[in-house]
Amino acid sequence: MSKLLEIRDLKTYYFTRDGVVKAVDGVSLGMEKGENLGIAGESGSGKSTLGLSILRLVRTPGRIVGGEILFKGEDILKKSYDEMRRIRGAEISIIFQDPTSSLNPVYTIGDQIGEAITLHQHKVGGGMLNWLLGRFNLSRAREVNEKVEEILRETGISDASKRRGDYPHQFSGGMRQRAMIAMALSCTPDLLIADEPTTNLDVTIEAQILELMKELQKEFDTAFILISHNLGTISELCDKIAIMYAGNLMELSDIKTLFESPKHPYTEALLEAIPRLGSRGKRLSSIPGDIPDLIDPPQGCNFHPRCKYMIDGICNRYTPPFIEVEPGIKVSCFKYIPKSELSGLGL
Amino acid sequence: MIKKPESLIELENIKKYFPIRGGIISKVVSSVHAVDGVTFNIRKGETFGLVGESGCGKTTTGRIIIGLEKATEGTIMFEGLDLNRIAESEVRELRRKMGAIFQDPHLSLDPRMRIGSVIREPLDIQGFVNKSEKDEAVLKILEKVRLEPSYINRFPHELSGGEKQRVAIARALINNPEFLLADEPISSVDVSIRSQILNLIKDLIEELGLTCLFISHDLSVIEYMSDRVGVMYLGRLVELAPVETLYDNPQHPYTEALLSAIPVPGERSKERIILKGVVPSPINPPSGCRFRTRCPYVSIKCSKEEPKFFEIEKDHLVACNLRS
Amino acid sequence: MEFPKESSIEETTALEYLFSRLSGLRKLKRNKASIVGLCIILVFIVLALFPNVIAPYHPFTTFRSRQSPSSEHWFGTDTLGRDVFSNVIWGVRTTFYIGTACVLIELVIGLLMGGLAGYLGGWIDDLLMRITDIILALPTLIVLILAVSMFKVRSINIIILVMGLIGWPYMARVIRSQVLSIKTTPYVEAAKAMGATTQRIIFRHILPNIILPIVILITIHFAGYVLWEASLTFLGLGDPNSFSWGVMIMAGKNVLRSCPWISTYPGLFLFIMLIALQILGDGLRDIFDIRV
Repeated sequence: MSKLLEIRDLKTYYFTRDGVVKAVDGVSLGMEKGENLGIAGESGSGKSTLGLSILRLVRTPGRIVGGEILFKGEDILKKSYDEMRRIRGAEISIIFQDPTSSLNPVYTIGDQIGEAITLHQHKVGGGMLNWLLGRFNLSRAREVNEKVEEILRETGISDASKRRGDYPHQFSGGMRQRAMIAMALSCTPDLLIADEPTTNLDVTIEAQILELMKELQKEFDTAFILISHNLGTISELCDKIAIMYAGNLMELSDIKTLFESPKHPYTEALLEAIPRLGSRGKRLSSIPGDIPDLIDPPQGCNFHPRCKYMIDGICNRYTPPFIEVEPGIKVSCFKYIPKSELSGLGL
Repeated sequence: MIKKPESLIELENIKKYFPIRGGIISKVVSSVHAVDGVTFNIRKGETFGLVGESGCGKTTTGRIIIGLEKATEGTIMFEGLDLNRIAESEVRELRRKMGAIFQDPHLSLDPRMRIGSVIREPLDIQGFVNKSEKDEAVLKILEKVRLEPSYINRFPHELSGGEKQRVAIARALINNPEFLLADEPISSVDVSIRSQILNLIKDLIEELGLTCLFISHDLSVIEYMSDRVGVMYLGRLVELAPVETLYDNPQHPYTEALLSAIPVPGERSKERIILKGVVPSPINPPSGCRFRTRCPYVSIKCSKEEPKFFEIEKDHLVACNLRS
Repeated sequence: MEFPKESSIEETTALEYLFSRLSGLRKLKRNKASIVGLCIILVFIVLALFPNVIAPYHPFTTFRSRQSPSSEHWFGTDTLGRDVFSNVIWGVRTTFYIGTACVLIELVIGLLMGGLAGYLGGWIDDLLMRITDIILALPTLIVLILAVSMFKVRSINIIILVMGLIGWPYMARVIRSQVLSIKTTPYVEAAKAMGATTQRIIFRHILPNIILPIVILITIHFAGYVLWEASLTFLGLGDPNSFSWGVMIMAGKNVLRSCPWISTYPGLFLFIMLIALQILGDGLRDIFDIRV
């Protein structure tokens, strides 16, 4: 089993006062070792919830209600709290969109990165205790500090020994994101989940961060899951891409094929609707309608109200199965199910 | 003699410094040079794209034009009227001629007002009294932005982001202005809705014969919407050209870097110009050329001489020591 | 042009907004506790308006003193022979009077000071806020005691005036911060860009949007003023001619062991009213929140 990560029919729902939000509704995908996966989607697509679910960080009123997440062959959803704690940070790491709110403003960058290192290297007792011990144990502290500086340098923060003692507000946005990446990679995880890591950054800084991530990947041999609404950003870093819409996985494909010949109508429509360099003179097409309400989604395929290939009687009544249409390419769309097989699926 | 295109708005050496106060009696200790000497014209009927990253001063420039900020220095002419010397009585008429849409659709509509009242507000401010006439104007513009008439009695929170932005557009255009300021109108809108809004703005500009200043940090969007483009960096204009020229033949190193930094869907770019470092602080901008701290072609001249904005070819201006 | 059913735009001035929101009372259904709170307050309001309907006797009528609760005198009689029940019922009106009057004073001053400071900013803001800070820094109870005892007459109106003049800074602060945060919202900026006058911005945009926190603060302060008055009375500075519950509690202080009903029942009613106000305040937040 060479798959690093395999998700089978994952369902994560939010049980709110207004109803049940099916944020992730039956998503299955896999990731090989050495491969980068991009999860693309708009707001409400469930991509962030998917990322959080992998680390079981979904907060109430959200809950994983079904499916399996196999990491290195073992089902994460069956693990205990302690086992999960050991996985987080050390085997699977995550960075978020806004580095400002993910960094504690009252601790130095060095302390925060150091904490991550200490937590996972000393298995005895709880994290706080270890951190305190680390503070008072000079040689261990020195060890940790050296490691911190090393990783700061790796992530392109020059003057690491001085920067170690700085606070988050003394860093610029791009540098904070580097610090976050440093923290996430400090324990050399096998998998790094990055949820919109460059969305808040200027495009020239984004280019720097993406370059950095490529270099670090070579160095630390970490696989990335990049979650973003920006297809260009995903293309820069990933090999495989998953397109999500309103909680469902619509298309799973490799980058080249997705952009050259998209299979799912949503992907197709999206690619025609995004302004791109060189699109001068050509009118952008637009996707009519709006993103569906996740508490009361449309019956059948979630995209059908906006789909130009909608088949009445089928797309608005039944949910399309997620099937492989070409080697390595899976789509969730009735367009690819020959009429003859429709009856076989009980329709 | 070639007739020079008529300008609707002319900015001459506009500067905006925000004071930073310190000490117990709040003395001014230094200032943020948000806009530091910007000169350009917006021609009648054109869509002028102003592009740059955060902190470059594009939003502040827009706000100065629309009247939300007063320039520290410099002059703005609107249809020949000097906005610095405008009389109180003329302000109202001026506001009628300008419409504006802002970035955040969720907060640009008063959450306590119904949509109809929101759109009607510019008419109220202008002093129109006939209620049925006003209501009819609202319904007309609502149709133009492709929203159902039943929306007039809904509250903003009942609408989606894209719908709210349409309402903002309706509000900006109900007074039949001549000028439209669009400041990052789609940055906070969902990706699949963006092209709807962009196309709507484009159509309305053409239908109503508007002059538009379109501000964005997204070069692809600017390319789609604009006739001419100005690139700003740290409070200054570094390049100005018609859209084809800028994108096909950029002259300023920053423009080059910006264009190459855009990730292209479907491609993993091999050669990209990756700028080093971060944007310097606008409180203490670098001497000489502001871009020199990150410029891949920097020379000694760049720290001593401030590059002048000059015409490198017809209608194409650039401020770079390398090119002059 | 097809005119929709609602063929004209419904107005929303600050006042109309307030009333339209009250029709959202059905939203309270979700919050059971606030229905209870509302009912209690409604009962109290009825009592305040028509005390003679419920109270069997006039509060000044005297009977045999120190009677324990009986079928004739449900809450017994006090040391002067007055029916405690009737006095407690008449006390509802007084309590409402105190609470409402003080809240009105603090609203007027608070809106002026906080609103001007928040909206105008600059040195006006600094000046007004320093004044506010000074009053806030004073130890409240001590100042109240000093101020009231300076007057030779013990009058409920003086107490109300003093309390309002000491209490407004809390309201001013909240109003100021609300005005500040709303002033910078994009919709106010959009209004400015449209050329709206200051008057329009204040009355059409800022005021409707600050109502919510003010209303909640009002319910809290109402309770606070009632308590302050009770405390002052308890310390001997109350107006003996008013029917305030504080006065009644005070009157029964010395005979607490022998005639506990004299202090207890007024105290109980005070307690119930304060809790009802708290619960109602929570419910009001639901009503006024336009998004719910």
